Amino acid sequence: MPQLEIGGKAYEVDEDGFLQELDKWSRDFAQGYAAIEGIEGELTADHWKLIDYIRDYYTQYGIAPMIRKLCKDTGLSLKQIYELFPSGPAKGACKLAGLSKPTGCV
Amino acid sequence: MDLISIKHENGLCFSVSVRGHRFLVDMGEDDGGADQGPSPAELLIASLGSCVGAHIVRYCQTSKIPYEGMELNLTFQIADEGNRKRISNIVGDISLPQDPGPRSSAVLRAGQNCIVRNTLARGPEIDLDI
Repeated sequence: MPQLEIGGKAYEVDEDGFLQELDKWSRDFAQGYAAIEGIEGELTADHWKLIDYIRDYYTQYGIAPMIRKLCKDTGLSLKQIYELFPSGPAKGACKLAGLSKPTGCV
Repeated sequence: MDLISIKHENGLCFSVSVRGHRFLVDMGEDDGGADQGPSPAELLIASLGSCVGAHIVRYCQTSKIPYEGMELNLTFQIADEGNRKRISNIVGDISLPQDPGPRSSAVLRAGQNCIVRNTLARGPEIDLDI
């Protein structure tokens, strides 16, 4: 299993870089991963709004939310989401949220 | 209908020629291509978005609704069902220069009645041969 080092800590990730142990996630993990994903500077309130929403949804339903639901519930358009996470809601936001690789949803 | 010719260029890259226009289609580097153009799946979604847009423009022109600078943003998800991958979900946002208000649903209906969406919704017969 590949490992990713963020802030001096090692995390097990899959071949696409998705965290394999949800409980190892922390806000420091997300902030550290942001730089690797090409997001410059501190994560903004809108970044956290998306990350927190995705994590809450996953905790409740066991899957990542559908994109349209993500847009409606956060009030962010698709364009805004891609501006926040240039690699998209699945490859970007879900990865920073510490989810395993989504299938079928975001 | 005009002939659409696809010619292998290199790697996973193909050139597309149609009515005197030519462009490249390729896979991204993550998928083994050289990223010399949009992927086939991206092109399909771009085709859908352009078609929806064209139908909305036509409706807006006849209904005197401002449309200049209209923008469509789309994304899609791939479902991996064993060896059969397919696009499982397409999501699009349409932005007009002014909110059409009560005519929003009519604008949306016009876009949803485009040839590409109707084709995707019904699934055409596809007959390939060697």
